[in-house]
Amino acid sequence: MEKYATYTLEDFMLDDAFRKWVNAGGVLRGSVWEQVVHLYPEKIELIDEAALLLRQLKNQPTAISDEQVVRDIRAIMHRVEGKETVVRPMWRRWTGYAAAAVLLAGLGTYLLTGQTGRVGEEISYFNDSQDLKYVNSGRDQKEVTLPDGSMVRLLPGSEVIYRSQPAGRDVQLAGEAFFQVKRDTLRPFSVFSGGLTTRVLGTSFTIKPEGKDVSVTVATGKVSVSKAGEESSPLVLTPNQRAVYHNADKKIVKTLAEAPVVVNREQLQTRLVFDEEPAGNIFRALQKAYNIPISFDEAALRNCQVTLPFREEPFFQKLDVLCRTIGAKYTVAGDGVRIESNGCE
Amino acid sequence: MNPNDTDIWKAFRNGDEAAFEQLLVRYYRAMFDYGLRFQPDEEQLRDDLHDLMITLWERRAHLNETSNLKFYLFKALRNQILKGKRSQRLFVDHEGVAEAELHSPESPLPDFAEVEATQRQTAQIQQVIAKLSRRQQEILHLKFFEELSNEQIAELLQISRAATANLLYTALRSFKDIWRRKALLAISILLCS
Repeated sequence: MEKYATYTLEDFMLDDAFRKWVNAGGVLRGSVWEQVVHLYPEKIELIDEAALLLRQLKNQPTAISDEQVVRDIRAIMHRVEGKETVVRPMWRRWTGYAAAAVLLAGLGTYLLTGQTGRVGEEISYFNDSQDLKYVNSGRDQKEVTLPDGSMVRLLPGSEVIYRSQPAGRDVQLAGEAFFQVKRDTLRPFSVFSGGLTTRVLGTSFTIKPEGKDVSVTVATGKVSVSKAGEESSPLVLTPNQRAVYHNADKKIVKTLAEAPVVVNREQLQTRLVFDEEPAGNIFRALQKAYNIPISFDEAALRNCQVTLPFREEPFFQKLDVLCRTIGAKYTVAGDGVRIESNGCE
Repeated sequence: MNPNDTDIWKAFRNGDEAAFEQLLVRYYRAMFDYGLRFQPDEEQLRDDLHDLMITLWERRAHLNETSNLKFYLFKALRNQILKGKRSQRLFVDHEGVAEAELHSPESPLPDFAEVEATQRQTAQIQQVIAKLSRRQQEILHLKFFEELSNEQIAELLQISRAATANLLYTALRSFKDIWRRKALLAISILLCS
């Protein structure tokens, strides 16, 4: 204890036990530091200051935005997965072409087909307006970057036409595509496809034709969907929700994504391994991680304790394992999941 | 070590692209925030990170096991950047940089009325940190943000443990001195207004 009599601010901050105590919440009552303060009352201010500084140093904000992290990771993965030789420069060249083409279009020139060599087989031309048209006539998925910075991953045989206007960004889609939209709150991003209008500010989602119908599945952010021409009263979708537009009766139905993705990664990352955990807590963690409402009878599950290591298995597989462990059943109901259980012994 | 890190690293070395992406999702941000301590040019840092990760991927078959993946990546990043700087003849002695930075003009304090108390403190701490030398910033980041042990820091900076403890102490003292001066200034502004 005597050593604390001469402790400086630096000493406290570099003391492992002290840092551990601050990280754990820093409650003075009952801690060894309460005894230190009792013996050396003049140290209380130093202890407060050291705890404050440690917390502040630990909470320094990150210097890189989520969007930038995602973009950088995608660039790296693109390079790695690219079957083509050196994908990144091609991608860059692309943006160059787009810009050049817009310029050409403005001058009244309007065809730019087959001039881009290998690139030309995926992406083709610009029509006589300011519209940009992207066609994927290849056999693999193709990613294109729109002039506003948004990314579109086009499935084979799909095409988009992009029109940038002062009031917003409009896209006509034929086929299936995943969109990662650059946030621009002043200019909403709208996708028109098969009688369905999808409108967002900045987010990611997939649009897919399903027979005569069209579906929209949200990966991140919020998305508004509506029937074409009825954009004023949209249906709002959040991550892992899916809207299907039934062409036969012209109705939009909200349901659950076919392959839900983890929306809230921290929720599962810190809680990957559940040890003797009440099943209710695990359902709640899944609910948060996937943004999917899960209803269950808290009282019935009271005695269900589960030890489970979750990894990267798909949502429904996790659900299946968990339900089988506690002898329960799950059903998809609307945009959520319902658990039926008779409880555990 | 995070139990999953072992699996990720093993799968990465076996050429699993999904594991590579996982690794990036997990550590790209931490590497960026750390790298910024000695590569303040963000665009250059992003290029460095891009090149480093591609190199690691291409050399995956020759990489060793590691008991601490984040630490391993930090070390690789540090080598990559310093190697680049040296070859560009841009490598400047850290303490030399410090002198110049100590005299850099101070950005104005945020408006007291408008900013929440904690945000204000965070901003103040950032200003204090910005006044330290790159090397001091780096060691404080490693110790108090990443919570590395002195042994790990010594290995990363390639200095002895005694030198690490010494550097850490003096960095913290400089930090304290600037912080207290600033706090004093803030109090006197409050009293005068």
